[in-house]
Amino acid sequence: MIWGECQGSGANPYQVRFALADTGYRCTCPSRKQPCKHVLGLLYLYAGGGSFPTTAPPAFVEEWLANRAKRADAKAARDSLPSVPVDPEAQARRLDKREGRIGLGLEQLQAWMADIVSQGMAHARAQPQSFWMQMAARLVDAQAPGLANRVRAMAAMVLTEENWSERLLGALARLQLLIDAYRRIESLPTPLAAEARSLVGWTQKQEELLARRGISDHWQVIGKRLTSEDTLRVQSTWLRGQKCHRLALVLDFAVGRQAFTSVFTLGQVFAAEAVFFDGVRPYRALLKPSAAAVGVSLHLTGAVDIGGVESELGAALVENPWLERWPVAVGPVTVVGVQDRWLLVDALGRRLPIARSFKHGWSLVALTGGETVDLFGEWDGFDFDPISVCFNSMLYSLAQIDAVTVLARAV
Amino acid sequence: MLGLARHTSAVDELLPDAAVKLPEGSREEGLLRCAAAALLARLAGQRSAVAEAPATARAANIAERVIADSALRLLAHLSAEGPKELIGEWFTRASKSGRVLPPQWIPAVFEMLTAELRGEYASIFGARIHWLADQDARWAIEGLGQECNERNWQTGSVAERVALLKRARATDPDTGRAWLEGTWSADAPEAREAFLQALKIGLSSADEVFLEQALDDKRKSVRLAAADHLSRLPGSAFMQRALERLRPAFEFEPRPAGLLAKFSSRKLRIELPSALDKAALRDGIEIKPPANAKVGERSFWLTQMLSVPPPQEWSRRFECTATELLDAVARSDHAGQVFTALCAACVRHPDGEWIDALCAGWRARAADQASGAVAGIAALLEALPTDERDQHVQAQVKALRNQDLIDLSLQLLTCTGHAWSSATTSLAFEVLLMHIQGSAGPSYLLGPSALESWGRRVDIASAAPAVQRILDKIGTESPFRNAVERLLKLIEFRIDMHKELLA
Repeated sequence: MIWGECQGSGANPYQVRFALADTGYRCTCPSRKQPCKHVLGLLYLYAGGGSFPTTAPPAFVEEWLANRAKRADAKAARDSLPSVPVDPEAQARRLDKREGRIGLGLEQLQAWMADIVSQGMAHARAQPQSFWMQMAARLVDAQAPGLANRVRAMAAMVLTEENWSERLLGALARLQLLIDAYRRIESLPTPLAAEARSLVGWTQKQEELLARRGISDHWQVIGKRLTSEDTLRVQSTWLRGQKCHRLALVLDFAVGRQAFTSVFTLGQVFAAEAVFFDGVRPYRALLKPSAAAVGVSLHLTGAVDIGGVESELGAALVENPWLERWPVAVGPVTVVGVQDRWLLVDALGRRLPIARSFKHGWSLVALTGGETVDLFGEWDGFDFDPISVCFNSMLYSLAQIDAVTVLARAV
Repeated sequence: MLGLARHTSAVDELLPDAAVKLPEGSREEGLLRCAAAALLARLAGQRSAVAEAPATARAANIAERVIADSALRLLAHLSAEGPKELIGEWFTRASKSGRVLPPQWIPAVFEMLTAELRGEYASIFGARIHWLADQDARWAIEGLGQECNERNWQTGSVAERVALLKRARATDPDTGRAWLEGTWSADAPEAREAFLQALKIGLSSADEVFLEQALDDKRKSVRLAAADHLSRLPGSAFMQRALERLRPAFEFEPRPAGLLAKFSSRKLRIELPSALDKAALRDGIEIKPPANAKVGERSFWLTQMLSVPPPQEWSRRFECTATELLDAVARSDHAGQVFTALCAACVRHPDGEWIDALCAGWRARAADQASGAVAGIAALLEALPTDERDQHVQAQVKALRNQDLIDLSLQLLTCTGHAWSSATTSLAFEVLLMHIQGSAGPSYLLGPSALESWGRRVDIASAAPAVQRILDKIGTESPFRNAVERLLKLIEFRIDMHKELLA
């Protein structure tokens, strides 16, 4: 237990308390940053070997300790109450209700899609954003958020891509296949059925998954991406098992200014047990809490050439026709700029266009200096979206440092 | 694309060789299912064509040491949140350190700088920037890769040519001027103006003939630039003409005879010129004074004429010191105009003795013209080369302080433009402390912009302990505390930056 008083810009000094045992802290300053600079200052003094009295804490410290003890007792009391058992009947009714809603949502979606087909895609493209967003909102109300995501993705695609008509048709067509499949889900083989359910928006309970046995391996972080939608932030981390060579995608969510629960750095290797979600060629996974960082590896293994990328996608589509993006490492390739697009070119001269959203083109060209490079990213049959880069046995991620767009080394 | 409503063919015909029968459903659904099948077939089966791989030249490996990542993050922070003035310092330090940017940073840093600065700090880009420029011309640094020869002079863009001329003048001024003379008649007026400005580098009496020609140019800004350059050549015909023009206007009355002669102060006779002849107009004297200056035409002419020759000329001709002459000026008619003109002349032809005398003159006027005095002194000192300037700044600040004009000495420190030596830094903080202890509350003198300009210029080694001492002395309740703490933070930031760039 350490404490102190710090003179800030207010009239009275701020009272700072820090409990060493469980790293709890409190400071009376009005700063909204947690922990505030006064707590950190106190910690620095402590770490620097300053002498602190350990007995006879002043009144404000005693008060705080007393309050904390009270709160801890109350929490323990709550936790020890027997949990309410899940009523199977009520649960079944809830599930039925949801299926009913989804069914209605599917009908609305079907009608909306038929409308687009009969009036023409050019007409759909001319519609305002609300045309797409309202359908997405209806799907969210129908408890089918996965379908809502697909509709929102279509909205973005018609405005940004050159080959939007091809892509839109493809997206609508595959959505149709998904609807068809969902309607006769009982007749699908189990993995496909699980995939269809998860694509529509059914989630699997994490506790139930974590109870299963997973694959224990050394998992290397080969890619990391942060996306945000309104206030929901999503951290996508791709890991590759060094022995099993399987790819795993771990998703973490945070709302607003919360921190993510797991922290991954590009290149880190974890000894962990990965449990995969149900589905086809499942690659969304969870790492069990026993995961421990065991080192760093800055190589990218398993890179295939462009022919390999295409055949991998082909094979994957055979098993899961609704697959939209395939994660793959491609290399060795050179980065070439043609007019305003970037291309990856392999040794046989085959070309893979890079997604338009990639802004680090020149940084990558300057880095590689014409030499070959390996990239890890997602291939959707139209273009390649890079997530991380491996050059000269060093991993780089696409970063935005303040306002500067640059490839950052994974140290 | 156009919609199924306008088509009447049966959907079945779209995929005649589909092996699977399509499920029941509307035409729209059927179309989508066919499309799905077609798309999947294409995606699964597509294979890019094997072709000739384009040959890309490989860049050379980077041999030099690379600037540390932490220093680069500092630069990114500076460019996003500032303080922006420190960016220039970052680049100066970085280019002096002999290190280069890590290659992936080159495009981003290139775009942070203007074209001129890219040339100035070119060393931090290393050789890789030339390879990049070969890939795409947008990465070319103007005038850098080019050889400094006449062919490039004749065939480049205006900006490139200005850069080449500057480089040529720095090493071989006569050749530079010869190039300019070669293309002078063919160049556009804007280009001529820019080139003439560049002639300032390596200016010498050898350029006189060319500059006299330029005095006849059609474009006014070219004529003005030529006149300005000529006025800095004391031995030129231009200067002779200027002195001749002033002969009747600026003269001491003849010494009265007799023993008392030494003790009576001589009177300066100043006569306003009655008319401007063609030569005067050609030499750049303007007829009409600017609208807001409340001076008559003739005294405006006198001021312009008097600001051309070096003031040392007068102390030589009249065999007196600068101080004596200025005393006489103060007692004569048109004292104010003449003083201003002599200041302008001294800025053109810096001279230690005259600067001291003129600054004393400003200090004497400081009572009624406080801000003008500081500006006047600062202008005089700016004309000096940096090493001499520091000494003079110290002297003037001390003088102002001894006259109890603390505010003015602070102002002077704030508006000087060079990096301070450690002696100047210590003096500055002494004066600051006097100001803080003497004044009632925070003033504009310690506003954010003033502090930033101090923070940029102090000698960081001696500044940090000096500021710390001030903080200790003024105590925690002082209203100045925030401002001084900000200054300390700025200084510490610079110290960190220096450490990172050399780490």
